[in-house]
Amino acid sequence: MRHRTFLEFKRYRYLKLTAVLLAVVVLAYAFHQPATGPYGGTWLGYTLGTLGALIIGLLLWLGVRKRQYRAATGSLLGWLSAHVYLGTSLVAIVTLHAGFEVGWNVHTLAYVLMLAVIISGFYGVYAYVRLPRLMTDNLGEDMLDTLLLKIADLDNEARRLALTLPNEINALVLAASQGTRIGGSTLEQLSGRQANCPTALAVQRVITLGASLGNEQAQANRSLSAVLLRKQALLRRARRDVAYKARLDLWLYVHVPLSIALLVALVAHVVSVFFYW
Amino acid sequence: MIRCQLIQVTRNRRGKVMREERSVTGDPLRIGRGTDCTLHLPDPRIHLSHANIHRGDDGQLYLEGEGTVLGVQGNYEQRVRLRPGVQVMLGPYEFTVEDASAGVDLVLAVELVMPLPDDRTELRARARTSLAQTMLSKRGLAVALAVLVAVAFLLLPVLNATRPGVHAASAKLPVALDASWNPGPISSAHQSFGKDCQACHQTPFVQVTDSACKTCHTGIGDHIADAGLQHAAFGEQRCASCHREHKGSAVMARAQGASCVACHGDLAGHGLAASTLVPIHDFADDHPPFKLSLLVADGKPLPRRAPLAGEPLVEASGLLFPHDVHLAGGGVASPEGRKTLDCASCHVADAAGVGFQPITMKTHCADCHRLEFEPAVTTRQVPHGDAAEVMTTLREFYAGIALGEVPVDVVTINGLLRRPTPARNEVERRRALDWATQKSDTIAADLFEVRVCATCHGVSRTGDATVPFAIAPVALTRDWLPKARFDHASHDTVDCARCHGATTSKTSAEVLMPVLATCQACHAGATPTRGKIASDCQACHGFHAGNAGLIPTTSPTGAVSRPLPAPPTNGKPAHP
Repeated sequence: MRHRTFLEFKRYRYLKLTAVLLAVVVLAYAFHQPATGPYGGTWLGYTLGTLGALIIGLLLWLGVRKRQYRAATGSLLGWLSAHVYLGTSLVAIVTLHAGFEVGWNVHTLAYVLMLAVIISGFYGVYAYVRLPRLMTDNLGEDMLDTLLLKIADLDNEARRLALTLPNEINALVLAASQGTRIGGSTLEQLSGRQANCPTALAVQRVITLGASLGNEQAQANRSLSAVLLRKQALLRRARRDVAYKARLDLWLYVHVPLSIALLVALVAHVVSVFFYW
Repeated sequence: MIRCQLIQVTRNRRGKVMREERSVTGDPLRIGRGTDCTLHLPDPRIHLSHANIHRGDDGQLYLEGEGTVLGVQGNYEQRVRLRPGVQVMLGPYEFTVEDASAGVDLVLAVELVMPLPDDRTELRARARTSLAQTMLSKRGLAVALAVLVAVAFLLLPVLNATRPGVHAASAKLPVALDASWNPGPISSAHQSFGKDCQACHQTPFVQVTDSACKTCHTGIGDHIADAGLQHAAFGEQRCASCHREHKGSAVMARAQGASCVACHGDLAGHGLAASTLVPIHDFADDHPPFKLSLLVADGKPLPRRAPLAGEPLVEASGLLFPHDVHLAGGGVASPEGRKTLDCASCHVADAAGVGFQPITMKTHCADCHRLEFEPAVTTRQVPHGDAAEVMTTLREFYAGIALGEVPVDVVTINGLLRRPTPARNEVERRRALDWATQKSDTIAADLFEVRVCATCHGVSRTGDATVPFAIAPVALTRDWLPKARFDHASHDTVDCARCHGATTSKTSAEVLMPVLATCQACHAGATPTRGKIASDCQACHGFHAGNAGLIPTTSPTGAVSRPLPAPPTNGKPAHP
């Protein structure tokens, strides 16, 4: 049986639910013709606003629910499925709540924050659907830790081979084993590169320096080059894995803080409306 | 030749020291990573040829770095004399010179004190493979954003609204602290309130009250004059239930149209079963006939409004005015010859173009209807409007002639008057005045009852010798439909005769107001109809009129006007 994603949960149960909800909302909006023009203050405006706020509350609750490992309220996969579809429906519900009105105010701030959260969420859906497959393709049978172990072994071997080689080569190999880094800063994790990677430098220089070596040393140097090249290939895979993981995580650094900001802006929006009723 | 006893020191896992001894010879003793070295140190931190031990000129043994430095008690030296007790760091190795034993020149203990770390552990320690290990922080960013939004968009506006000090201090800022709460532009009429939201939003979490509106809008009346009915029909509805602010800078948005019919289409359903009003749903369908407010007799108003349907209505304005004669194609006779009149000759639009200026004798009638009393004298007229003044004028005129005080303009026709000869004594004077009185009364009867006044007015005899005639009071209805709004200016593309049948009207008792069907010829109901103008209730009717002005009152000048709505009485209108 094929693996079911959160998008297909229970034969698209939440997609269907959302479609029905949206159809009702759009029809109500189409037949609602207030003399003042549609906006958040008509009865439909208040209704859609309440609906939108309830949905936002439900979506934020995912952050709590996913930490409750023993909760009985449906599966986490179902929650995620509902989160994605109901979150998408907010674009329509809240736009109709506002009656397409925007301005430089806290109301539109909440709206824009909500759109930003939803758009980052769309990237999250893309990442969750696309990246795990790429990560599997990249790692194959290995795990990141296995790759690190293999790299460490190669470091060891490279150093052993370099013991008999000239100091310059030996120093390069030592630096490559001690200075090479997987991941690192945000940019290094995302790019999957290390600026001036000592291993890359060693690969390049060892081959160049090897040209002037005598017979016996040249043999050792060729072995060393091969080891370093294998290490470089493993490094590339390890770093790519880190980059995928970073891309899988990074959108949450937008999605989660903006969700919290949205919650506060939503409270400010509601308070302002009723404070100056 | 240097004979050296080399002791390889290692420690097992429990820290126990193991010593493995062997002898090496050579001069010098070469130390390095290279396999050709006497003292082979297989560590990448050691050079191929790192250092050597040789005998100096003084016969002592020295350890000397080959392009490398030696660590001696925290200092770096190029060359160290090897005597017992000396400790030297050679890269990660610690060399300790021990007491020499028989047969050897040097006893040297070598221990790798800084072994290479485990590659995998090191690699993992260096690796940061999760964004959680970087400077990025979901929690930090979330808290920062939340605090920013809460302060700027919640705390500051609330402080601004609740602390007068903050409100006053922030007045100098280019943007009000609660500007971000404004949901939309306020109407131009209310923009004078500026940043002062509290002008209308007086109490937090309480809807804008009517008293806030009525601070300025003092003249606004309820929909129903009866306060009890007003409350029964509208309950707790507020000004803002219909008048919506923040909906654009032009004018306030108004909830209208369908809401009138909601009640007027189902009066019983709104607690108004006893109402005499006719249910109505749309102007095109079931609007009742127009009801007129008009005068019935002597300027007295009709006790209730008369529907403009069925029997023709009769108006008693007290004026005799045949429209057909005045609008006749050949014109009317005037002192300057024949003169053609049209509607606008008398009905002159008022400044707003909504209605018309009052019609007066002096402005509109007197050019033709001259009040000459003496057929032989065309330069003298009686004053208009007061019968007593008329009698005085007549008596003065004829007395003057009888006494020989003939005015200059009458001299030329003096002979025609057949007056007595000018008085020379008291007897003749009395006879002359008797003549004048008799002459005045004769002329007055002719003037009032036949020739002049009776043309337009009802005239009656009073039995009083001083003022023997009375003119019926005149009251022209100026507001036939006080419940409706009709703007003549916006109908100026339509000929007057389309609505008012004046050219065939023979008497002023006829009411020339158009019937419902006349309006419906051009105006559809609320639903747009091809060839007609969509017109909802408020196209003609105002909401706030109450019942004021339904029954016209007669003003002192004879004109009928509608009183202004009564001033508000703080939400507690007096029960009639």
